[in-house]
Amino acid sequence: MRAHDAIVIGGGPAGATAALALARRGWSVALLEKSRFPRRKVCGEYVSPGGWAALRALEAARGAEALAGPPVRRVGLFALERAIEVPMPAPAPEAPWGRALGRETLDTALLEEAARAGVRVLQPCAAVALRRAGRWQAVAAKDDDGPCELHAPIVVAAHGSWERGPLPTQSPRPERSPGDLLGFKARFRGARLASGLMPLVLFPGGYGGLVESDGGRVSFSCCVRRDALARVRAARAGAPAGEAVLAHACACARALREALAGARRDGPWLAAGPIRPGIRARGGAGLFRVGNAAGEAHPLVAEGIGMAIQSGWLLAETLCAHRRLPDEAELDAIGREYDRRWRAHFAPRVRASHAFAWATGHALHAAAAAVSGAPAILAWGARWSGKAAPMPQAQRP
Amino acid sequence: MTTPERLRDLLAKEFAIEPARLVPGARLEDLDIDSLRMIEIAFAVEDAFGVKIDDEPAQLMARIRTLADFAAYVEGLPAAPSPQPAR
Repeated sequence: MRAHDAIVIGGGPAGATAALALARRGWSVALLEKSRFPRRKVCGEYVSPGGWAALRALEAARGAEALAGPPVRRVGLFALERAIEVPMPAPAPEAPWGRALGRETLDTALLEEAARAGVRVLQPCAAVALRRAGRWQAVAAKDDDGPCELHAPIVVAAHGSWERGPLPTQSPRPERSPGDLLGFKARFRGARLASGLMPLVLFPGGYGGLVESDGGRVSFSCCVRRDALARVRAARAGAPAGEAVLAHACACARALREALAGARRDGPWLAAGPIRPGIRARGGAGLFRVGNAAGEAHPLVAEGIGMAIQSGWLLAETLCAHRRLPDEAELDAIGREYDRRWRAHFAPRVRASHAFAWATGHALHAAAAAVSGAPAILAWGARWSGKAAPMPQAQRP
Repeated sequence: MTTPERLRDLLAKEFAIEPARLVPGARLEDLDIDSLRMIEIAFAVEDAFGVKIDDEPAQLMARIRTLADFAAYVEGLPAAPSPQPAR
């Protein structure tokens, strides 16, 4: 009987890493990705040290690292008239410095590596329903040829969190709220940003970040509250939303204005959201979440890709510590174990990101003044958000 | 016992399907066998008949409509090459 050991839904960094790590251990894995690659995403593009460490452990980093932007060794704050920077805390011994890489390059490279490792990649192919009986699950999917069905005891939800969908791990249509955070992103050529510096940019109603990515391009990504976006757009009638937000941010942060003066945009603005920071509830037996589907920090701490890769790696490590084709009781126990390890490693940085987002959102002037008076707060914040943390451990030492 | 008889026996004993429903013309859906249930049944058939099934559950469901189809399918399967791998 031919059935898979695991089916991964979603081919972004979390899903590709989980699939790759399982395939490296000899598992039979199918991965469904609904989009054709390469494709761009609303994303800060920074891959934190733990993410690169996991990719190195899977021998999947070399090609991507060669293309990525320079090592990010300094963290900064651009707010009001202030531009503050301090050294980034050094990564854990096994981890390199964080670096940025566009998702059209990173995601394509990881998925190709997974396919080379033996993962059966179905793309474009969208999962539309899940059902289970005993220890087996069926994933119903649709591709260009019509409906198909795949079977495995383990299903990995790696479909992100920002899009609605029919699966039990996807969010239904949420209520609109003025406090929703909407994401915007564009890349620029000819920007003047010190090499290896990643500044956080604060402005009323939101925050953003700058980092040099692949090909010498500087990525600007930001989040804006829905109500603030409406005001910003009303003040700049006729401008595309992304341009209006950037103009607002530049008007409120001198150093951002200077960094992008004379720069030209490379490609269109991308928008997404609302984003959903928080930690999701555990899936049912045999249904595991990775990446944003498991939980996400506020983008202010630039941990999205790093957490995605590391959670995929952590899940694979946890699964591989058990026998293949586990029964229902074992699946439930593995789920609890993965959940505990996920929370031990990632919950502190999710909570820290909430605190930082709250402080910058409610007291921008005070936050900027506090960092100006004590720049070490930036390094402390970077440390608290995991920039110096070791890789998550599947087995506690 | 013939293959149809052994298959009926297996489905009745291991999968608790009423023997009276296990007639040659019975369709899989009439026996409440869907692709998920078929996985465990296929593994049991491999063990009981010493054969190797190379199809996926969805392919099996497309090939086999009735119990008679199922028996014919099993008769056409190659013998498993070696002791069954631990699954």
